[in-house]
Amino acid sequence: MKHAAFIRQAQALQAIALLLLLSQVITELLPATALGILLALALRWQKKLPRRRLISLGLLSLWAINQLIAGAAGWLEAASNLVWLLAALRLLEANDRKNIGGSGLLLLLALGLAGLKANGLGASLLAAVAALLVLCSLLGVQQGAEKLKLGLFGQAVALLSLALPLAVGLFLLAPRLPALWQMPGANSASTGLSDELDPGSIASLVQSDSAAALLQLKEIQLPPPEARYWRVRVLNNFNGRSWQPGPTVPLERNPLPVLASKQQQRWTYQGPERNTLPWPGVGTPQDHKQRINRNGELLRASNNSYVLLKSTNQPSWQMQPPLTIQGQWPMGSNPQLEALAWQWQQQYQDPRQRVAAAYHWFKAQGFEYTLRPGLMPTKASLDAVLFEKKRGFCEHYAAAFAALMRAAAIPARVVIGYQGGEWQPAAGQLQILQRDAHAWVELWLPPGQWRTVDPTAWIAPNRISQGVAASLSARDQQQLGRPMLGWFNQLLLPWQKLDQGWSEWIISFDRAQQNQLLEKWLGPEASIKAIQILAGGLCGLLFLGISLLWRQRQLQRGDKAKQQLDKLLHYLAKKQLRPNPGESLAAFIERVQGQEIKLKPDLIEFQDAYYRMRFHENCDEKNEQERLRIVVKNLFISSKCRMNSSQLK
Amino acid sequence: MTQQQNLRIGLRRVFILPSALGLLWAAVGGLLYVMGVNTSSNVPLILGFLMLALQLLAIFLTAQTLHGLQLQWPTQLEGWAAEQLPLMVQLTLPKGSRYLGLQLGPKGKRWEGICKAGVQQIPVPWQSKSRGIHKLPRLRIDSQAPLGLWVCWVRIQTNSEALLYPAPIAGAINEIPWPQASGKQQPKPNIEPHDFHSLQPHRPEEGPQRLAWKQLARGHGEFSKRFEAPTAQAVLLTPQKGMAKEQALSAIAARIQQLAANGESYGLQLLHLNINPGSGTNHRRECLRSLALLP
Repeated sequence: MKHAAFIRQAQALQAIALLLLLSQVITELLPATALGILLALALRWQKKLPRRRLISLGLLSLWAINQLIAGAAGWLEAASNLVWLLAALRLLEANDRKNIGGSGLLLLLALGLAGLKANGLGASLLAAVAALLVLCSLLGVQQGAEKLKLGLFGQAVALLSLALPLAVGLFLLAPRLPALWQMPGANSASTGLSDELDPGSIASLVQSDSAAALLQLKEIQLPPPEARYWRVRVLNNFNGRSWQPGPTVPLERNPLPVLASKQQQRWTYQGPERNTLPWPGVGTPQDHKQRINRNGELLRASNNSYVLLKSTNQPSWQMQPPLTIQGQWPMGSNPQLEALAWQWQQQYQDPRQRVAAAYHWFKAQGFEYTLRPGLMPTKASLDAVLFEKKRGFCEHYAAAFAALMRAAAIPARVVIGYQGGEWQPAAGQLQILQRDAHAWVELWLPPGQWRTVDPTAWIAPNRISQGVAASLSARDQQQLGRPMLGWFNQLLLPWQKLDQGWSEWIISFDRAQQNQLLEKWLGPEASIKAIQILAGGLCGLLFLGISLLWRQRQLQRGDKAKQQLDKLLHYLAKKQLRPNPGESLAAFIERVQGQEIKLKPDLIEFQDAYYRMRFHENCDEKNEQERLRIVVKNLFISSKCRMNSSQLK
Repeated sequence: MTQQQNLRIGLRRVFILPSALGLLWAAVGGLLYVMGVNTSSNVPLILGFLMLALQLLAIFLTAQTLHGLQLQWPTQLEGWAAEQLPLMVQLTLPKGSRYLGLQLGPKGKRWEGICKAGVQQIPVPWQSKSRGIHKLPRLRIDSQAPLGLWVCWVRIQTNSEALLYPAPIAGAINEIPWPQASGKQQPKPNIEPHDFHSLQPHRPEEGPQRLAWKQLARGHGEFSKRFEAPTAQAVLLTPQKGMAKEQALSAIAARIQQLAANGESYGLQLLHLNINPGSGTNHRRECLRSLALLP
């Protein structure tokens, strides 16, 4: 079936928008979703496509099966995948104006869902371009443009530019409701830390340039790079291959703050939604609802901005004796590692000696710190890291060292979080990025305290002092997307700054920041005032629009001479007497007089009054208006009389 | 020449309400807001607000789409009952192009399409089952431009009338040969002098009187008109006794259509109506009009 040109254009624009959307979420796609979308896009341009609904049904079933098999992903991921697939399938069906509108709307929803996964500046710009294309498709369908013209894009841009101020106003002023329900699986987004330590999870994270957190210090000195460990999640449960969080409970009471002290850390978490937030492990939350648990994890209270005050004493989570699970070791999972640990256990009575032995052993092995350690075997994977490949990233060494210590009868756990960060002296803040993700180990050592030990610092000291990039080989740098070319990095710098600004000002703008901003602008009871301003603004906008329309009408009404001229022309048009293009009023009236002699006196009267009103300096406008009105009225009355008399005949 | 009526659409006449897509649009905007709030993610939130802003903006833009539209339509129409009778609306769009819908009355068939800047003729379909004079229902013009989120419309009282002939449905009728219709001397059948049977290539010896000027003016070349008197005998059409009135009128109308197509001569003999046999377009129209207006 051949569709109108404007329908085909709208389909093409929406297909491009869909491809832009896919480029943002390519890593989030289930195989069935990716296959379905590609198939739908490929079939879109087939001339004869039987049973489109059957194809759609088949692809949806495939997605459902894939979802059942994948299983572990949260419902948000499942719903996102479903919406992306539906957007593609809808495009397959969109053959008329109504369906183009529907598929455009579905694409906008899909873009919103993609924004949950990818919210960096680049991804957001791509989303904006995709939204612009969707708008173009809707405009094109309503205008029926046969050829794709730049004007259409211009109109879409103009429309967006007009809508943007209102959208910004709403973004700043519209009240943000608290979360209506807990989003399961929201903390497992790819751009943030995972809750498990699977091989390769952090290596993929350090390739992301998106923001993780922002730290502002008040009357506190910035710790040296070696001491910048920002803990997020503690993993207690080891199954022989990977580390997972175990059960935990919040502490009964947070450490007391030092009331006289003004020292505080102001944190803004900028990553995907999660339940535990980064912190240095010392200090106490200003918000009494925010709790620390016995693992030393800071739990999220209501928003992503939080303040830590200086606390009185040593953090109590460090003193919490190890749970049984923190000493458990699956026997036989990594035999070589067990043998080495058993040897140290026999050799050294004091756990600290065993740690020292491990340090010397790690230093002597010549481990390589790399993003690409290659695939590890499923069985005895940690043996492979320590004794065969001898290559790995922080996650491999932290996992292997913690396992080694547990095998050597020292309670151990893995901590994941961030290490380092970029100090921005102008802003007086430390920017922590996802690429600063790191894993280290905590051991329960005499005299009864959890101590931080980082095996990565033994293997690659530069990682701790200078960041990930400084400690990797040139080939790894390429994989990070940050080649060691000074000029290239220089070129990227402005973009990175922009991206940082976007994350800082837009993406991390939450309820707390909104309240702060509103209080700064509007003083106390800012929320109510904001609602009033917003409502007032919307009413004002409506009023402005209506008054503009009204004004337009009044302007048309206001020119009395033109109104009477329009009436006259309308009257003459009924007699098939219309002015020619470029013909003056005088010439037209003269021509009409020739054809309709009866009208001659009225027309001369009209012309005289009209020209007086238009051009005479000392014209009595009211009088002339009245003259014009009477002439036109006479014409209509005489015309009616003539009609009636002809009917009587 | 048929009389025409003009109208320029002003904002005062325009009504506006959200379209189905507009309602869904608002729902998706709301969903994005909830999603953004629930996940503390600002991208869906911004998109939701942008959609809301576009929707508010579209109210004014949609109301403007019909503003300034100029319409002209005939005040008299003639056609058959139970058949589509289009009201030819001349529409002048000042600028741009847009998708418009035109409909006569709530039950009328809808015309939808792209209207470009300039003047265009749009046939708005309308039909009625009964014969006679009908006042055309109100003309509705609607548009959803620019985004399809709002639908704005105007309703116009056309003041047009349609004269509908009885629906031509073949049936039994009486055909009385006209000279035998009564014993009196009957006048000659009324054959219009301008009616000609066919055209044939013009020969100079035939003179300019027989030249088909209309065809020549249209650039179809020189043809001569060939006149032929109807060969068949003229008849008077009367309804069969006992037949329902409307059925009989439909049968007569169908027969008139048939006879007129063959160029034959016919007349009407009804209760209060007598039309002498004749042929040609005007005769056919006179007969059909009489049937349409028969009480």
